[in-house]
Amino acid sequence: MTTVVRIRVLSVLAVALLWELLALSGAGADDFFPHLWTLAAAFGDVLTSDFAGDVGVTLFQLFWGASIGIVVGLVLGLLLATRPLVREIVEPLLVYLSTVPKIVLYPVFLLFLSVGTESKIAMAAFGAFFPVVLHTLGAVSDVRPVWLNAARLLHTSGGQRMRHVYIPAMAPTMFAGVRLGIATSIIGTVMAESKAADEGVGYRVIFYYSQYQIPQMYVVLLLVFVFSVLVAVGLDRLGRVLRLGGGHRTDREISL
Amino acid sequence: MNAPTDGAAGTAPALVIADVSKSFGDQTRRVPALGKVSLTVARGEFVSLIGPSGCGKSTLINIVAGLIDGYEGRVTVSGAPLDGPHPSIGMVFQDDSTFPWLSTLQNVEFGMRMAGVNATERRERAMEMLDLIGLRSFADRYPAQLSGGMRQRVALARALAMRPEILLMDEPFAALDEQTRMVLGEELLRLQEELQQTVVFVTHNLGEAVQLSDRVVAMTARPASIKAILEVDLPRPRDSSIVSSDRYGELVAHLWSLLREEAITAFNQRDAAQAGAVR
Repeated sequence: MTTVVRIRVLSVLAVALLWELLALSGAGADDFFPHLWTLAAAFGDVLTSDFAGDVGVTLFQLFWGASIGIVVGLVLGLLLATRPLVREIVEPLLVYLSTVPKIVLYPVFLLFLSVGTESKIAMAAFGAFFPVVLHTLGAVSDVRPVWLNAARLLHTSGGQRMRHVYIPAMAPTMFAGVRLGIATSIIGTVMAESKAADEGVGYRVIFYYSQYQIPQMYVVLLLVFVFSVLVAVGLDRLGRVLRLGGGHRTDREISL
Repeated sequence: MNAPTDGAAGTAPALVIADVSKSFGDQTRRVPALGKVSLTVARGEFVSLIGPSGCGKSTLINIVAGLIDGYEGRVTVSGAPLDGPHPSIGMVFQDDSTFPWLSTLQNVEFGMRMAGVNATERRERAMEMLDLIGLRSFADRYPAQLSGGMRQRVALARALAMRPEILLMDEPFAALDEQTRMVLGEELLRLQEELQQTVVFVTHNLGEAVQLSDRVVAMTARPASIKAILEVDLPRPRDSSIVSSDRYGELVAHLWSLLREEAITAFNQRDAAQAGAVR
């Protein structure tokens, strides 16, 4: 175990210990800080309920929402990226829109789509779309003109330059956008489920809260947290495998 | 990929530049970059363009590369007029142009891959090129793992792998340190003896120009035109020891006497431009 890993494990244990100390001190009203053993029991409760069904619903919505948002964001970003005039018009609009909290659109989605899955997919898609499209637009500045000139002098077509120069040059920044997009679509989905829904993980949090089953609520929150971390770690790994980690310009120089 | 092998290609000079001039800007304010330039480059000849910084020699080579249009005059390659990047012209740039997402080998294979050369042949040709520039053992390294000089060699191998009739080199060593550029200059000399490549080489380094070239074209300050053409009568094959010969010293001195006045003019132009900018 490296020092870093050891510190990480220790810090998780420290947080758990701090939690238990708060529970023992009786801070807040009863059940604000349930004992660790209470949480463990609640964990059993949650698992034996229909929690798997909620997870399935959330993952389904997240998958489709994030996929739609990412694909539309990448395609639109690439289309705009290579058309300076249109880009100049559209980019500021996208930047301003991206700062609007997506949750204010939720009533509109509810109105036009449904209280069910579609409105959550729309929330997840919108969450993913903005970081992806903005990163893709920004990634154009990663394409050094000399690469394009070199490619022209190696007698490539415009399409070949798009596929073999623009996209690989932009990929690290686009991937950073995708990572951020997936994170924001998790937020979007769970938030939407907690507002108006009758299934899904976000719904389950609010359900336990309204029933005053606080330990169960914490368990679901903890699971959402763990899931988000796992997704982030997974994307990190994927980035490294695809050589999209820190961009091309970082010095991976090794002594020769 | 190779030059059209019609009758003209065999006899016509590799490159003819006839009365080419170029201005930048719009109708209201035109800034001339290049005066009338005419130059003929024979097959297998190594010609350097040298002149003060900012004189427009890069403009000229970029016109020949097909990267700049809207110029006046005519450029013909193997007898055919130029229209965009010519299939038998390759280029090495001043800035690092290697693709950082591709390995050394993939970089060298890039042009062939785009042209649809089959995997076996392009691997073979790329390896041949890597042998030529001495980077075979770095085939699987990425540019970030190579030094600046190595990356320029990869860019050179990538251009040569396309078997260009004419190789354009736009200050390829300018961004490198002095010792690296000496080594690369020596290597280019060796390659030149081996390949008999037609090369147009832009530089602002007097010694480099004399050492490498058959002819050195001295250009005036902006707008660039040809001041004089110096025949380099140093014997071939040459190696880097040529720099210690008397004749080399004389040629460099002569070249400097041609360029000195132009360098001063260019210096004053920049001074004036800066003063204008301040005002």
